[in-house]
Amino acid sequence: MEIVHADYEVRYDEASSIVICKGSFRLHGEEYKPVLDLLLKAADARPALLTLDVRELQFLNSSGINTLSKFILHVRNHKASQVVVQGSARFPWQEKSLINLQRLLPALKLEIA
Amino acid sequence: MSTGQAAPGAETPRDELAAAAEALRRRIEELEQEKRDLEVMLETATEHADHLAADLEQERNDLATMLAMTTEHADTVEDELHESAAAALLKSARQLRMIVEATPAPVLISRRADAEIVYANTMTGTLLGAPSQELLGRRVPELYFDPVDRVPLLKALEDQGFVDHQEVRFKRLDGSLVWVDVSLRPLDFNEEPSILSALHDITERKEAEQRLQQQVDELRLELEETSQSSALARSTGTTRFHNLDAAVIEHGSTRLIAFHSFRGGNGKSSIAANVAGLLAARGQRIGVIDADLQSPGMHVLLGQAGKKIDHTLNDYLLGNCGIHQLAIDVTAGLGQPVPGQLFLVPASVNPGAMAQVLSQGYEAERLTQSFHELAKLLQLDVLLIDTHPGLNEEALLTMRAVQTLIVVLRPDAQDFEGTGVTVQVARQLEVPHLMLMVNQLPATDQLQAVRARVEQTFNSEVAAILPQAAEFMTFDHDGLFALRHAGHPISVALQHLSTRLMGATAQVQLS
Repeated sequence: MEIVHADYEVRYDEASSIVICKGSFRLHGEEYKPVLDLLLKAADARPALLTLDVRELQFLNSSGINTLSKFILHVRNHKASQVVVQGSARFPWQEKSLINLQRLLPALKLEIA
Repeated sequence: MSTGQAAPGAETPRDELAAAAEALRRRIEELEQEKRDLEVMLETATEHADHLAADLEQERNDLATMLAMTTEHADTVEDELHESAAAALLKSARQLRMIVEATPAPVLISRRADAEIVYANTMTGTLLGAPSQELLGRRVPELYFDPVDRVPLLKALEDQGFVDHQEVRFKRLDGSLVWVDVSLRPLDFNEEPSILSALHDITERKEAEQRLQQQVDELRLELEETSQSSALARSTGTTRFHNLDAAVIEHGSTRLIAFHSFRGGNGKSSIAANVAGLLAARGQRIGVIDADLQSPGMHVLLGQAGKKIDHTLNDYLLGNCGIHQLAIDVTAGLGQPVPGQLFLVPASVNPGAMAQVLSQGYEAERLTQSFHELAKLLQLDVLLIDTHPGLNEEALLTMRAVQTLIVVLRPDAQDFEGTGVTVQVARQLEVPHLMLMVNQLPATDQLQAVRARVEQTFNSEVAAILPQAAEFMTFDHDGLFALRHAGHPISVALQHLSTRLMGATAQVQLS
């Protein structure tokens, strides 16, 4: 499954249970629904290990971090998956914001390279 | 039967009491059950409410966390964007300074509010005779020779958002006058509304124009004085050249046409050579004089490159040979057989001869005298003169002597400006028929729009517009382009020009 846009793309590989987000997310409110649906679908598959790879996500606006939060809560409520979030130090916002996802899911594992 | 016994079938009070007691007992049991049920329900409801409250609390906490996260994220991104915007602004300002500093033209930036100069590049300092740093803090009106000249520029900038190529007088810091071509653009500099002024020193050109104007006035005066007693030299008939060595012209039908341009390299000579060939192809007797003594090339265009040439126009001008020794019949070298004849008077490509005629000078009137003597000698129908670009004495004399002047220009700003001066001079010299010809029109330009613009700018007829074509501008050893490629758009345009020239010159003759 994938959403490909000129500015961004989201890909979910069911076989490896990896969700990859790339580009710049500058959507507003409801525009994030397709992205959230794809993320929730990945969560609903309840894999033992679910990876969110945002290493090539250059920009994420407030509605975007909100969407990621909803995804993490959804996973938490299932109590079925260990979540690993992979980020990059190339984009300073990732170091500051991704760690906050652990406030919603303390067991979340964050890997910033 | 005893008195206290109840009749069979009838309930005694004791029984009734027992029944009532039984009923009460059952009721009590029911109530107790209800009580227990209610207690269970209460307990269940309470537990459920506790669960709900816990869930709500969790959700509330999650939402609070999400809000805090979102806010923190927004702050982070906002900071990043602000920093990157500030960095981009700084980079942009640095780049602007680098570009402006490297620009080989004077550029200065002044604050709009108080006209204070906040930036000036090195070239501005050079223009105004002081290190550019010394200009900072001064006000722009100080730079104007007459500060009033700035008012219409600011008004134009206000009205149309830009000012292009306005000629104004500035003064150097030592007070001396400097003419500049100024263009203005609004600009935000250091976050303040500012004006960017691009300057171009045109003092030399202005002085040249003034000198030229003086020469034109002097020439006009001379011509007026000498033409009072006789008709002016005007090519045909028996007109006497009283003003130019009193050369007598007895030949009665030669048309004199000069090809001129303000700048070199715009294809003037190629056009002249091809027009000459096309006129010869119409059965005419044509002469071509290469009057471009500083950069001759007509002999190459007319197939004489590398051939031995005994006498040139240089020799004639210096008095070293007669007109009868000059002309070369080049008809056979045109690449195609033509019914007419084409004669060339070449200029010398010998460096010594070129230097000699340019350094020693010559009797200028011998040049125009050569036109008429040649016309008479060769019985020419048309004599074409290819001049040296720019405005010099030979050009002015040639303009005064011919019936038709064709000014060739390229559609660019420099040629437009120079052609404007040329046209102005030609009008003052009362050239009977002035035509403009645009060469090397880029494929992207609209022909009709360019024609309209040129005609409107110079108020003159555009005789032809030739498209940009490398094959025309690239020299071909096998003969004249217009004769060898008759169907090419350039050849067709030149054919029309030839027809137009014959008509135009005939018209002049009749008048």
